[in-house]
Amino acid sequence: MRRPAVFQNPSKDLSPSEVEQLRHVIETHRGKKGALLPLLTEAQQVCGNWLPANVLAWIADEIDVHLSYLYGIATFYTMFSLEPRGRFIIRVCESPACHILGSETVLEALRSVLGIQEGQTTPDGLFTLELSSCLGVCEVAPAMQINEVVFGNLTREKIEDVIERYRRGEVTDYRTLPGSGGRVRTDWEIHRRALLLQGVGDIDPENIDDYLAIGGYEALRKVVLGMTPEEVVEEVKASGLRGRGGAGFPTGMKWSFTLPLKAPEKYVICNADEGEPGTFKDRYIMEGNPHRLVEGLIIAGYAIGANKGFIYVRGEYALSMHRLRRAVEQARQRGFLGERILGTSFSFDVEIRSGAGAYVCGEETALIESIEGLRGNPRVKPPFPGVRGLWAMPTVVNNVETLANVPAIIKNGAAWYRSFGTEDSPGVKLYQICGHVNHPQIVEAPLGLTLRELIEVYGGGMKDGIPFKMCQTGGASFGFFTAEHLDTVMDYASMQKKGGALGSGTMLVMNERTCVVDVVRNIMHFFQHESCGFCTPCRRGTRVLYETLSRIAQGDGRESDLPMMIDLAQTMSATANCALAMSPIFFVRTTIERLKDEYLAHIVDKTCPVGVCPV
Amino acid sequence: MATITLKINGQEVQVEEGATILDAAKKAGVYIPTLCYHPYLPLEEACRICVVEDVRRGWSTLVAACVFPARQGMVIETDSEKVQESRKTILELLLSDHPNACMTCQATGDCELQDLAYRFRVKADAYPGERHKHPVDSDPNPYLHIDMNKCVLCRRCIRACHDVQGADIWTKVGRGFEQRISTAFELPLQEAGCEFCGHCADFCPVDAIGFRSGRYEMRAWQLQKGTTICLQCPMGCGAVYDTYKGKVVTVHGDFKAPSNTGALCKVGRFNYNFVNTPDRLQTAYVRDGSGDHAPTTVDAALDTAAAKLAEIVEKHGGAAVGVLAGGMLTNEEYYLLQKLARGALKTNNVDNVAGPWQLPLYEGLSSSLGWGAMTNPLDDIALAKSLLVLGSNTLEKHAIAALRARKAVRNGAVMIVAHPDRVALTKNAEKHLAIQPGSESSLLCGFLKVIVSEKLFDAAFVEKHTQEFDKLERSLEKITLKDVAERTGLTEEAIQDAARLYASKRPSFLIYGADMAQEPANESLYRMGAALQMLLGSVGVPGGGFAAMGVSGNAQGAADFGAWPKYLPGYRSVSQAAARKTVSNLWGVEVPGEGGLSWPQMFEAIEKGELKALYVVGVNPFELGLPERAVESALAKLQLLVVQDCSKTKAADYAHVVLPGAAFMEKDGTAVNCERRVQKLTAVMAPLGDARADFDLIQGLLGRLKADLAPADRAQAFDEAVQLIKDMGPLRYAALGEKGPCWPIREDGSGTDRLPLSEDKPSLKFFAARL
Repeated sequence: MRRPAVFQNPSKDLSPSEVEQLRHVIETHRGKKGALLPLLTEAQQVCGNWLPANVLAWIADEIDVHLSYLYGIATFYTMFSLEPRGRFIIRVCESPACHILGSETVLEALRSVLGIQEGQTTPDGLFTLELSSCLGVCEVAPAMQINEVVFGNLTREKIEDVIERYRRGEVTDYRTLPGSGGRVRTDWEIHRRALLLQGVGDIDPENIDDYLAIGGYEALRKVVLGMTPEEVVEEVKASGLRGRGGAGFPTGMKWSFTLPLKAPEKYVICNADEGEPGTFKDRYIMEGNPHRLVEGLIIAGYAIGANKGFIYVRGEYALSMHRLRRAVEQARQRGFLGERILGTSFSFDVEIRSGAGAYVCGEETALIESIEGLRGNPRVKPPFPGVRGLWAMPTVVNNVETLANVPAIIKNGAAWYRSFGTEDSPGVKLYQICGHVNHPQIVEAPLGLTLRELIEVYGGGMKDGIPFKMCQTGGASFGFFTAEHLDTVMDYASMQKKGGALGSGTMLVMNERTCVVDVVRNIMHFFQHESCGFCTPCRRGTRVLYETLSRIAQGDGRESDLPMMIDLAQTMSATANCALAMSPIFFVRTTIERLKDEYLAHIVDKTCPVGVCPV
Repeated sequence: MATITLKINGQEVQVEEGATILDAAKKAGVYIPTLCYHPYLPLEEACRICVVEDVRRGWSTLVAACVFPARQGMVIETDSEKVQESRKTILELLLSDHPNACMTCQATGDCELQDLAYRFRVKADAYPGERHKHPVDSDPNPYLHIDMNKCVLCRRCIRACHDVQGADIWTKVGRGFEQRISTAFELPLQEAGCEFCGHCADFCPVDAIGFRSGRYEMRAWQLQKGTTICLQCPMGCGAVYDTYKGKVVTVHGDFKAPSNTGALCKVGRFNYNFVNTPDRLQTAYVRDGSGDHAPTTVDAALDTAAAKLAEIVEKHGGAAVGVLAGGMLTNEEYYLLQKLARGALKTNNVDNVAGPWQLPLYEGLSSSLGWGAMTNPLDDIALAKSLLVLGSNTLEKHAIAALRARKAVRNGAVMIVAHPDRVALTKNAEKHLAIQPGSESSLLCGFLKVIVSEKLFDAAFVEKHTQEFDKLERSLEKITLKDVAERTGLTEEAIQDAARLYASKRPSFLIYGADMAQEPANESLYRMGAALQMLLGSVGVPGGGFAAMGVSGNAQGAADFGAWPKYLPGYRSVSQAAARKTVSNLWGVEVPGEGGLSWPQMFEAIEKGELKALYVVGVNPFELGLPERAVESALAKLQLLVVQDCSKTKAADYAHVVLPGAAFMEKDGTAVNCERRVQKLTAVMAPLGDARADFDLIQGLLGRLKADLAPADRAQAFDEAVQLIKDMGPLRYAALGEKGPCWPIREDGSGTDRLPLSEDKPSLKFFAARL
């Protein structure tokens, strides 16, 4: 094994068993297209949660990749570490939902319990403390993850208790947990008719028979035995289903672009990189009823003429990946996947791929790059993936929730599906409510709920009765609502009209004791941290916005900062390469327009009215 | 291809489908600023400075002109307010994390960021905030100065390192604000495997990666720029020299040059100390009565040299005189030098350092293929699907061939490198064959054996284009793989596997660079190389050929123009009376018929006392690989040693007359590179002091010895020479343009890139294989 002399990053003396395991990992992935990320993920596990320099050098030699390139990849994804880490990696969520519910307190408690700061490892080699972007468990915020296991609704006592148990060696096996976050309210009337959450919380997600018992794979049977791909695409088109990842692009239309293309290979990818802060809906499907997604994905593959599908799951969702792998295995055993599905000439297989900590990989072309084993830089468009995607082949990328809709649409027909929701936005939606409400929750409802209904009926009202102040709509990328917008109907068009967005369907509700400067700063921290750095407007712009907000929070702001931020965010949106840099304008503009006095209080009066910011 | 019409700033412009908006704007003469874009690198679209407004009905959007495809009916505005504001913002964002220390920055005056900031009148401090604090100049390498604080993350360096050099040293590290350009694990360049080609610095739009030379000594606007051909190896790269007060400061690749299209190797880029050295000769010297060198005028020194040469020829005959030239002379100089030898000094004892290596190349290939040089242009190597690389450490000695080979590999070709050492190119190879030194010939023999016995060859091609295949077949019957294995030090299986791999994909390219550090090959190696390519149908086709490359910058020109003992200009054999007659008729003087000595033979002859005078031009005899003692003893024995060089070498100490010559970049003239391309050299600066280009000095001697033989100038020398060189006949010195043609030259003056294959009769010939 080559060991360059002057690595500044640490190397590791590998034990014979580690060498043996690494050799096995390398052999498993050798020669496979795009296997770099899985290879590094597994190598990191073998080496004890980090990637020693000598191991990367070895891998580079073995699989004939330049070392510089591997280094570039390892430093792009936050879940890789080039420094030694402990046996347990504690990731404290610093997303907006956790932030307003006390992630700083969580961190404080962990610092004192462990006696270390973020980025450090306890002397006994047990724990490494890290910060993380949204863990996707906002319904139990504030939260942290220890290796694969999520701990939510944290209090100091709970933290002490968990750490104590881990110290004693009582390690929770994530595979034995029912789910990572909260539970679906199966007692609600609205959930009796659920189609996306049908079975979630009731059935055994690791048993295909449970899914079959509730009508699973009937739609697939109907499709492969009796429909042409064109008919499937037409049906989905007619249903009015729009992408549930956030952008809301009509799904049937997306498929119809790719279907007629002649290519040696086509791919369908499920985007399960649920990284949008405040969003946790896809996790419920993957953990609670993974077969629904698998079925939807196979139908999508049939519809566009693909024989290979990928589910790209964010690295933090270990349980989702575990259940999806089981589901794929079982579906293969039952002939729903693999060669000649259900005895027809249609063959299709699915591979589960893990992300490694990069929000931007939720952007479909960045996700494709990541599957190819590259840094997750969004591609230059055009061409769009539908024409030239994975390995330059036509590729359709759909969100989990989008695909989960497909079996029901096929089974019951487009007209039936259109009977739900509004004219603009037909069908059902997984809404999520988080932040300062009594019961942060996931709700499946026909599109068209109002924000007020969501808070009052499903969120259990404002937490502790403290009045509503504002709500970030759709995820971290969109605009803020204030009390005057509470009766907005939550469909695509109405939300947009009011300066918000349906986005992923999540609503981050904040009460009067929340400081808008503090929250926007927190969100901006996220964006500058997750910017891939590819294009100037985003790389520099997100950073300048974050630094400006930090200055304002510290009382060093200027009045001219406000128009400057709007202008800058506007230019970023107009000139950047991907949607990540198009986001800040929404929340920067709506908060400055709608909550200007609070900004000015920081800038002019040098005070934070709710006493959150360190002015 | 369909034509597209679009409007840019109200002006209609037509482009081919597939063109970008930037292409269209260039065509329309509309300026769009760019930074990460470089016409000779793949697109990156990172900086977004090139955004323009794509105006639709009722709305508009900004798109990046460098990548966005031009579409029919598009309406583009490049200077609208929206565009102007965006450009400004982007530039201000870049400057907000940049040192903005233009006062003390080396790039000032030659900085693309500075130019843009100036042009768009941006404020350097529009956005206050944190700036990067990377260590400045912490890399200990001797060539490049690194200051990543200046980096604008255009990533041209990464693209240059990947797409031009293929070294892949630079990479993107981290993301967001933390993103930076680095080597793997921040390794120093040397340890990271840097090949020091300097492309990253050449492409850097600012001074994040810059050249060390000239730093803090002169500003960009003080430099003189001149473009000529680098003669340090047979690639014949176009190079742009930045000079200052008679010294070379930096060298850049010439993007317009056909052989290298902007690329340079470490030698071409950084090896110019022989010009800048304080040991440069600026005046002539003649040894006086006391044995010391006394400075004198060039004319006086030429008088002395001419008189003494004449005296020795008079006394001992032409056989007592030898003329030896270096590898970096121009065609006209080689021509004149051999004319001096043959016409004035009555001897064929004229050679150039590359001669012994070029001779088998010529003889082997001309007998097999019909012409005795490389079959295809260098660019063709990049089109190959399989490659076999033999001989020199290609990346060091024949770099452009190596870069093209890497490009082919990036495009999916398989490469086999056969070299005793794990040379740098092996890291790109599918297979490395660690052969015994000097066993290339045996390896080729093994390949032929495997390919013929397993019938892996292109039977149709062989049938149509070749003769005497049976001769090869018969000779191979007597050769066993066991013998090949023994000679090469490889196993029989390894030879079989490699041969099968090489034959598995076509077209294939055989790359053999001769190396002065090795004994010259015999012509049989070249014949077998040609045979291998003929078997695979890979001669003279795009991506299929034999890159046979000599050892010096103008080795091809020296041979073409007759500066060697065995052949007169145009490969006319000295031993043939008719050939001599043609030349004699042109010159009006009898050409001697006695065979001449090659330069190794000249040294033997000196030792024996047979050779009494030696005229050495542009070469240090102590650097020929001969034992130092032997050279010392030989030089001391000479009755007359005339040393002509651009700097004072050890040989000058032994000289009776020292003539101050010039370096190749100080010369006008022509040269022929290994792809047979006849290229023009233009002096980028004048020779120092009294020094003169070798042409002028040789001309001076010739004028003194036989005035009617001396042509008036370079043009006359060239135009006279090509009357003897069939393949260059129609060329005229004055008509040679920027991009020289490859010989054979057609009547209309155009060149022939690839060996033509006759449709009517087989033009290629097999010879017996020899182990």
